[in-house]
Amino acid sequence: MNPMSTPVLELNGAATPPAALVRDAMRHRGLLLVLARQDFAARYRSAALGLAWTVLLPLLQGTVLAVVFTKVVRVHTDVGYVGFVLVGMATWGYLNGALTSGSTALVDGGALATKVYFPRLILPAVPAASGLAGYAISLLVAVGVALVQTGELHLQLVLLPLVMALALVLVVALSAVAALLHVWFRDVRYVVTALLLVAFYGTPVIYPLSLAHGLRPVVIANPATGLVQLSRWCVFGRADDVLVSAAVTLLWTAGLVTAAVLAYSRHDRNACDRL
Amino acid sequence: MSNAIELAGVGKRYQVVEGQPMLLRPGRRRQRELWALRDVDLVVPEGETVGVIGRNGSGKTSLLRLLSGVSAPTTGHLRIVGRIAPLIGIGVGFHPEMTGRENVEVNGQMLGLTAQQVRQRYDSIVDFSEIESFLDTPVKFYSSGMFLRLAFAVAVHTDPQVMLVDEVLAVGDLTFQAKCLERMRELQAQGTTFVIVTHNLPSLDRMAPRAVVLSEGRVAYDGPVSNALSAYHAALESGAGGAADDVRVRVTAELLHDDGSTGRSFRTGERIRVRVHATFDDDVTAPVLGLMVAPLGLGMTYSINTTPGAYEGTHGPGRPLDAEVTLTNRMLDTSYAVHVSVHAPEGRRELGACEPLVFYVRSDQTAARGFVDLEGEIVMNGQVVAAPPVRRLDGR
Repeated sequence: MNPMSTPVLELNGAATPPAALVRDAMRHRGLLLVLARQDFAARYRSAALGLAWTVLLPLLQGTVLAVVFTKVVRVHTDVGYVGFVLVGMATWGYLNGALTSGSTALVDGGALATKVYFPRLILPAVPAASGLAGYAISLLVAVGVALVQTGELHLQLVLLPLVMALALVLVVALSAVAALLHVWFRDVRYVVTALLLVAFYGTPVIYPLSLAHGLRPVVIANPATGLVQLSRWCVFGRADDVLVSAAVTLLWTAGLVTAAVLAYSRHDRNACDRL
Repeated sequence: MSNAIELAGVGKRYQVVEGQPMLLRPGRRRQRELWALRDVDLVVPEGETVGVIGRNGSGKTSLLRLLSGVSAPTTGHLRIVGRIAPLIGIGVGFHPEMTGRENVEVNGQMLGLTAQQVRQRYDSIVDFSEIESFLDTPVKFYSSGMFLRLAFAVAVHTDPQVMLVDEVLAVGDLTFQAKCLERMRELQAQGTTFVIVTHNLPSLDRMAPRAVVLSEGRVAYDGPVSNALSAYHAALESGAGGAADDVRVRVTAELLHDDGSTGRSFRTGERIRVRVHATFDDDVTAPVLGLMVAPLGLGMTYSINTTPGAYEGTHGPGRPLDAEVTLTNRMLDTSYAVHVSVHAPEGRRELGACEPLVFYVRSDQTAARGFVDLEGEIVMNGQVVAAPPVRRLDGR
């Protein structure tokens, strides 16, 4: 055995330095990948329609919303409403799904996490990573619908993967912080559900930002708004307040990433003591 | 030769929260400190095997958590040199919906292999597990023995330099156990360091020359296995650990054949006698005795307990309880554990229980499989094609 490759574990109760934590997490990205793939595959494994559900659900949701908001409540959008709402739903569906599972990931993965060590950051990142496939598929459907509606594509569409990457980082950081809190306070599960319920209406998913009127600053302060508006900008070539809402999202992301790294450097080796 | 494991003055403190963490009722929440380990010094040279024994609550699990790196010590210093492979719990990290093949891939990477290394070793892992025909079956359909085969196969293929083995080898059939032991000896010969946590001293004797006895989170004994037994019993007698609030009852039990000889292997149809001995710290009148039989890792097969009030004897210090439970073995080939417990008079509160007694069932049947012998008979066109062996003995 090559002595250079022999790992040495030293523990004395001190916090893991943030740099070492990030390095260790990066080294385990292969594990994150297989866990995410497993999570994704397992979800559709026993369903007869399998993967088709990732397309069918957002499509159905978009169609229902489109009927309600164009035939019943008349909402005016600059671009066709169906494409408009599908872009919003794709983004929201990803945030909602990944955050719901991610914020309880440490407790849910407790049986595993208390037996084998790997960076704890991996666990809340798994739903965020496994959700990417569905996210990409539903965005693709939305782009297809938008193309049919408007007959044009915009150059900034190539930036859409970057928006997805930003969403991924935001969701990982938020899930990581919530999952750690959830170890101590099992209320977190309900708090997250409640916040997501409120945030759905606080994000311009089903209505354009222009309809927010006096609540516009509040809606823009919501980190999800930047992601939705950036995606619409990529697909339709324009979106209200895209710069300011994107800046807000970036600030949130930077803050949450810092918080997550600091929290996990402190609790990486004792987060599972209470499981 | 250098040391693989070094623990110096290691202590582990847990915060135990009592009551709910309710914002609405502040003051109801009490935190208690619990030292699961205290001042543990342990040095294991590279390539040595150490057995760790101790009763429930003595700190074994906490020690394993520290050694696997899951948990950091509250005090002291821990240093482990080499790749650590924990073999703890059956199928931990196995996803029930995924096939054996897919789980091998994930589990291998979880234990520190790269995706490429897992692919290279895949055939060898499958060979070792001997469950090739089930590899494309979701593991939710696996038996506990199959789980263990796969988990063990992956673990021993990670080139572990330090291997942590929990009480899992009790599962699986005897042939596979022998194979595991053989593989562990091979690894020992190659210089792998082992820490084995067990209740079963005789099996330890064959694996490890050295034993550590934990009691109340401290090292009560560290030396040759041959002398560990008395230290272990002293730790048991001290009555430390476990639930500290109630009357404590220490229950020991052993499995006997009909002729009174002790045994771990019983034939289908044979009588199993469970001899129980319980000692009491305080007076208890009309205790309730319960016994449960369960296939390892699965739910209950059978349980029986005395009706509250049916027995009215009083026991206390110096007045132990002796009991015998006789069972007829109607089970088919697999491993089971017997749990015996003593309860408070109303029957609910458990005062004490014995460590699970593991036994194996050998069946003479070639046609029947499963947990229970329903003594099935198959008649095809008037011809008896399959019949329980007992009937055949009756002179059919």
